[in-house]
Amino acid sequence: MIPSTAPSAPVAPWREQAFIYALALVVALLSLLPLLRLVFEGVVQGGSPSLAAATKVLSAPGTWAALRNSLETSIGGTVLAVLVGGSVALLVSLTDIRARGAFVFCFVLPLMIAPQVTALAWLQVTGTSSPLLKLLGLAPPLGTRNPLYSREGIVALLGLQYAPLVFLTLRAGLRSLPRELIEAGLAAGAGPLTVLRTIVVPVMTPPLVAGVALAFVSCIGNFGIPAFLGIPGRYTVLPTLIYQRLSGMGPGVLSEVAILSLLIGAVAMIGIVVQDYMLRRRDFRITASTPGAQPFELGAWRLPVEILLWASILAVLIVPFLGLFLTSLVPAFGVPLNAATATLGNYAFVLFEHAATRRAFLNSVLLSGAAAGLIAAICIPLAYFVVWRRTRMLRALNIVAEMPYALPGVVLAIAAILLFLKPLPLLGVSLYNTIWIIFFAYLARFLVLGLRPVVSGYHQLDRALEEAAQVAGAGLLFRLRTIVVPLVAPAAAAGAILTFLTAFNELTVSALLWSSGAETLGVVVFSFEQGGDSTYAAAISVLTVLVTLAVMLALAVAARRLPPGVLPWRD
Amino acid sequence: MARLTLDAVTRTFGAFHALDRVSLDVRDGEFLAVLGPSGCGKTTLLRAVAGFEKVNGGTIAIGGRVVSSGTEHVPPERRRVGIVFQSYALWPHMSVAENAGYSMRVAGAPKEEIRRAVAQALAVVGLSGFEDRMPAQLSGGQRQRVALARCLVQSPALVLLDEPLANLDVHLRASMEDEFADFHRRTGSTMIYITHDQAEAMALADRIAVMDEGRIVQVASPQELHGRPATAMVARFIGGGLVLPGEARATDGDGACRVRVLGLDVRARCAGPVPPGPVQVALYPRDLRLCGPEGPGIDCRVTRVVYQGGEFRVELVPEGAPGLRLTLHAAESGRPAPGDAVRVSIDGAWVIPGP
Repeated sequence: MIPSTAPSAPVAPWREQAFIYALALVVALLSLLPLLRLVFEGVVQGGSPSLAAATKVLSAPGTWAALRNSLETSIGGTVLAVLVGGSVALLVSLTDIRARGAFVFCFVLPLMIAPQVTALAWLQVTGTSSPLLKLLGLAPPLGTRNPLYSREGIVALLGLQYAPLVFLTLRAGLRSLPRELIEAGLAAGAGPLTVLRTIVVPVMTPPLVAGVALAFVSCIGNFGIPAFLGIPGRYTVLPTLIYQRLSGMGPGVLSEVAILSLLIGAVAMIGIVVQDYMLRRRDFRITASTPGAQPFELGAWRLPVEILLWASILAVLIVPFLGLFLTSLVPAFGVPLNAATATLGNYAFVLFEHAATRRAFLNSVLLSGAAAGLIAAICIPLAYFVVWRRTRMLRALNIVAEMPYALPGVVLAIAAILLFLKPLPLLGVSLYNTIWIIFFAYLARFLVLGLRPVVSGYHQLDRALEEAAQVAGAGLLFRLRTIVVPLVAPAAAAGAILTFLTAFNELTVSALLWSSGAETLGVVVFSFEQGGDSTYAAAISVLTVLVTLAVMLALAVAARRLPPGVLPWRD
Repeated sequence: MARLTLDAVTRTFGAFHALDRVSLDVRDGEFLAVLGPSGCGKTTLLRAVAGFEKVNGGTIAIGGRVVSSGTEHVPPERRRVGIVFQSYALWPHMSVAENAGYSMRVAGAPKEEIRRAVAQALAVVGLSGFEDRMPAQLSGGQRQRVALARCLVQSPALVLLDEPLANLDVHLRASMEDEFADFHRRTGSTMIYITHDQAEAMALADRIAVMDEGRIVQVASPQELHGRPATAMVARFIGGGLVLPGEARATDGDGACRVRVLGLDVRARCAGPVPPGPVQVALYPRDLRLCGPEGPGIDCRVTRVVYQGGEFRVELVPEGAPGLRLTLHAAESGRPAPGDAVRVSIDGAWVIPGP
């Protein structure tokens, strides 16, 4: 037993205060500063307040055309995403279909695959030189324009890309739908369809609207799909307009693209506010206790519905990626693919010969890995103060940390350029045109991806575990090390892997920030495709999909050790 | 020395007074239970003593040292207080031995010394040989014992127990009560036991502090709370007393007086001289008895008869006061049936001195 020594004098909690301020500084640097810098650029250019740039940009007809195109494709994509994602969520949550877990995994998979890879895959499977269509003898004649190079093509791919988002939001709502609500309706004599129409859908309005808003914000910020489909089709949306102006004219037009990104940010904000409001409302409406609706029995309809669901997986997942895989085996673009011509030469080229691609692999792995690790290290103490200690300053910053992720990626990229174009004060070093500007942008953009699982991890832990350590005499750092970190480690690991996967597949931010020697995989795929080297682009894409799939499967196996709710694709 | 003194401790959450000028003096080595309905502030009291809640006013002193006041706050890790949590709060990633020995590891004690102290503490709670088990492999009672062992190793002068039996089933409770009593005898620590369960509080504590709406309404021995409640709330909360308006007639001395209640003249106990006039009178089931139709009494109708192991609880409505519910205990023989008209005599009562 411990000898009873005289208790030491109380120490001022200045160390804790310093810790909190340091965390606040980090979050403010990553989240608040870039956005403030961007807004500042909108009203002050060259050191004096001026609305000249704003006037110039807002009076250019190209701006409004791009905004109109952005709205058209985003609204169209959202409608499609809601129709597909919403009906699949209802079928999966409320009926007795089999193999639900496997289906959810496959259905959510496109969300973890880079949009530019999705775009590339669809282009390969529908184009005139599609190896798949050629194998089937269905290829359109040479010279036919690919129908995907159009507004409708962009809408279709945006809709498919973000249908899983709507699915996930609605499914989360449906899982917390109290069983009694449905049972009371059935007991009152309503049939399943009447219950669906009069009870389920009205109660699910808030998560559905939140899903709609989320899909809209994601569509409007998407760069990969309109870049691959819209640039060749001369159909410009705001993110691609920003990209084209910046890469065409260089940093001289920074003020103008800053205005453009503020414009897109303002449109996205509408969606963010709606989503936030609706998700808040959800908590108040449902009061009863037992979630987990008893599935409706489909009876004779079960097999047809299952076939339909899996056929949709085949159509939106298997076929395009089979097309992508076949393209990656073609020796040269346009050569027919058969057993004699199939080659692994493209893989050999991108893995061993092409220096920029090899660098990009290394860069992407290092950038994503380092960002994931550092974000996890920031999030464990940050979420501790936010959830358990309810520190006011950090709670406010927690909301700010959402912004760089919620807003379109081009907004953050432009903000990062503005921030780092000039050498850093005091140090005299410039991060612009180095890999460090991408690293900064990744930290800022994906911080919240790592934070959310850790926050939900803390919510599920009994705070008494920490208090028990406190009464045992352990100070803050000792407690964090011996009690808190081991307990939230699984959630933090899940967050880190989520961060890694997202950063690994990212294009939007690096497309604007990359420089020679600091390429990412997304940038290399984009360059190959723009240069007409679709076979190399396909080979790299197949490799990234395989890496993503491997990580997700490994995580699915380890999922039993994770607290519920930290993995988006786990049912 | 771990005398615990609270002096006018106040803790507010906005306009809500969770603790309202709470004063309490717990002697060194005493076992005090804090009893109250949920929401009465007893958990806030415990958390203020442990240091998890700051106070807005007043002082808390442990062993003569002020640990909380409006201006001063010693953090929990420097108070040398032990807590047994309702949820046990065993660390799931540590073995039983690591859990129990944590406080010594914090203090930087040598490994061999920690091992010895842990073995000794586990022997006391009857868990020798469980050193390498993980908490997930233990039953509820065993987890509670590990939590106790953890407290033993820490050997704090003041131990706070936060509803430690709430998660255990009835059979285990009795044996754990013995365990706590044994712990108290063995360590001689001052113990504060938070509970909403009267039976638990009475079985364990030297004194019980009854809390209501953020205040301590009475601190007394279990017998005293039961026989001489200070307020109407205590009378209702402890032992199911019924509080009725009465009229004091005269004080007889020796703690007895005469009051008129429900139209009857009753000899009642009281705390001191009672000036004639309106008073509040506490009636317990043991004060009421079924009597013959000839003697003085209240005419009632039986509404319900419930068997309660060995005797019956009879619920009655007085004919003259239909809004009232009286309860008395009756033996198996001669119990009335629902609907019967009976006459009830009042053998005793207590004049409540406070509000």
